[in-house]
Amino acid sequence: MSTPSLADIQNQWFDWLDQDQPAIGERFASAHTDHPRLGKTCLNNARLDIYRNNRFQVLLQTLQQHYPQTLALVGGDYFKQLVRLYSRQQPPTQRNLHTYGLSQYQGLGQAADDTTPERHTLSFSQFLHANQDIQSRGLVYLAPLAELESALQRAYFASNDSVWDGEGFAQLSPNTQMRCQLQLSHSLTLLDSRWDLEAIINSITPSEERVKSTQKTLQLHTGDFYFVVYRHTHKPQFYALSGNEYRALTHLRAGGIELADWLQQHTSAAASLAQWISRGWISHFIRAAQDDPNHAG
Amino acid sequence: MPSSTPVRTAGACTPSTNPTSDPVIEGAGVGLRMPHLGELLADADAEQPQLDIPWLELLADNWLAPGGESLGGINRELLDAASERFALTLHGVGLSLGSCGELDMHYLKRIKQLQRHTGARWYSEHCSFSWESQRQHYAPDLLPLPYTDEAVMLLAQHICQVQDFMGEPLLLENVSSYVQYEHSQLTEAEFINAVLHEADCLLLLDINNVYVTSYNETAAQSAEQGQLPPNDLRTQSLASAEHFLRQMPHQRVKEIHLAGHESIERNDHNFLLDTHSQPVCEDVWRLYQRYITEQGPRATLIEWDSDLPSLAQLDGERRNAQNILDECVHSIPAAHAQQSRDNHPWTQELSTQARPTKILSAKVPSKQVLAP
Repeated sequence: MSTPSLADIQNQWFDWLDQDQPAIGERFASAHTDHPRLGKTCLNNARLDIYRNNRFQVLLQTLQQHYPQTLALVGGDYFKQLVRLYSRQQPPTQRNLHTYGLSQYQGLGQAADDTTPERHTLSFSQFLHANQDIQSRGLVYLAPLAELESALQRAYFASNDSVWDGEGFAQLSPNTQMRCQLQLSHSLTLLDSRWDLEAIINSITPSEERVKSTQKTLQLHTGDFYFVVYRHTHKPQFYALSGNEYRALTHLRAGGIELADWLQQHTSAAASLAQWISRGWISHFIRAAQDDPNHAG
Repeated sequence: MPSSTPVRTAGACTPSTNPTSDPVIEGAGVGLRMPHLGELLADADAEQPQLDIPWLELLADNWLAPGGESLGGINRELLDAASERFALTLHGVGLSLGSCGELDMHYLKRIKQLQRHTGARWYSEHCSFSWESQRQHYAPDLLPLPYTDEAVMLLAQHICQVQDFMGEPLLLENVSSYVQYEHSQLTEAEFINAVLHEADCLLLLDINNVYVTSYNETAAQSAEQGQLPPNDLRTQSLASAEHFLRQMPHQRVKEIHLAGHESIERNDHNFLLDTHSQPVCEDVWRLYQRYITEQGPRATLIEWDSDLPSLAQLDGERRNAQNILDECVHSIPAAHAQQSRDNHPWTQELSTQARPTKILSAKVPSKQVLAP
């Protein structure tokens, strides 16, 4: 019997793990001598399936934790089917599962070596969006809901922000203040949706009062809805925005705009500025180069 | 509504200066799991603490979340609180020491940062693989290695690299297994001895894993040769586990893991599943007691990962281990105990200086050399 190389053996293991049919386990115990084989004592596929099941259970638990509302909406069995399909299409490409299934995360890993590059090509919410079965069942709001949950997870893992330096800002002259650029929190994500995701979540997990007074029915309102997702202390949360607030914050996120210009373009948002700072949505300011005493130029 | 409290600023990444940065790890500890952390911290800060847990093991991968400069992410405050109050060790699952290809030095760098930050006394990893380097896929599991000369050399090379990078010995843990490779050239005991010898590293001896593997091997053999009655299966498994433990290089055993498992019956085929979801079973306690009595005390850890019990129940398990350790210490005459400890590298200070890179010899360990 020829001894396969270790690399071949490991490659075969992952071939087997990446496939979904338990019967494929027989491959290891088959008569093909060019395949890495397990001992005759392990002909029972149940033993091999432990490894595949272990992997699936870990990935299932990970996505259950990341997408609890999606899980509650579709139920455990269907969610499991979805995860089975997704994990086959998108096996983990990182050793750390904290971001498995999440959308590309901006604002995370501010330190250059904080995380290895994320190589997911399809997040779980993108997978749901592209899944034909979901679309044919009319669950078109599932992907936006999952995207919101993905943003909540990203907020949870986002880098810590610096503390808003209110005293420092107050000491600047009014002209210098107006030339500053405001920066949003690392944890903050802005979402627009044609579904009222807040109403959907409230009808999935109704408050105690609502449980007493109304029947639990899914609230599916369509229109133009805007949300901000952020982390307050350790808890990620989301908040409904008006269209004007959403556009004002999106403009800040894009960067490169001085406070004076921003205020001029978003006059209605100006009244909210202090509140946004107090909530931590705006975490710091950058002085214009000509006003910055530390700037070399 | 959120208050105006600003999110705290993460400080620079600096080594911990807490008083437990150079603790002694001895006695019986527990694996730290988040649901227990609040209670552990509250007890440690109480005027009269009820628990007397001497050390905790951090599952390193749980504290490597992105954000917050990678040192525990946003849970960094909790991490700091734990490291200020308890002696710690680090236990990893993601390095994949047995994978072909290069070690993930980026991952290892973050482990080193975490160790420096927490003052964790040592770092342990598993004798397995979980990463496939060609397609770059990760399996969140501890996949078994074939016991071949090639695997010995690869594992030893990777362990040497880890030790050179970390500047201290690595503790390698034996894993539980459900399958055997037809083309293994060594027994598991021979394989572990060979790796430890080649890499000059230490052993984290998981006695539950030894028992689970022994049981599963025995059950698989008996399935082929005619099913053994359950009691005989258990007796033979225990004997097989004892035989394995006797072959371990005792002077390299730095730590012991104890955990619970579940018994599964599928298609008339029994096996044990290493779930860490149960109390330590009677047979594993028996193996542990015998090992400690014969080889002397070792830092011991109770692992419990799923279906978490109350902290009180977990501490009850820990106290069982502590009682066995205490009995062992009391039963060894002082002079003998001192001599025994002096002969054990695990009692010696771990070097914090980087060792020169170890060059592996071309010598392939053979069964003949390693056979008792």
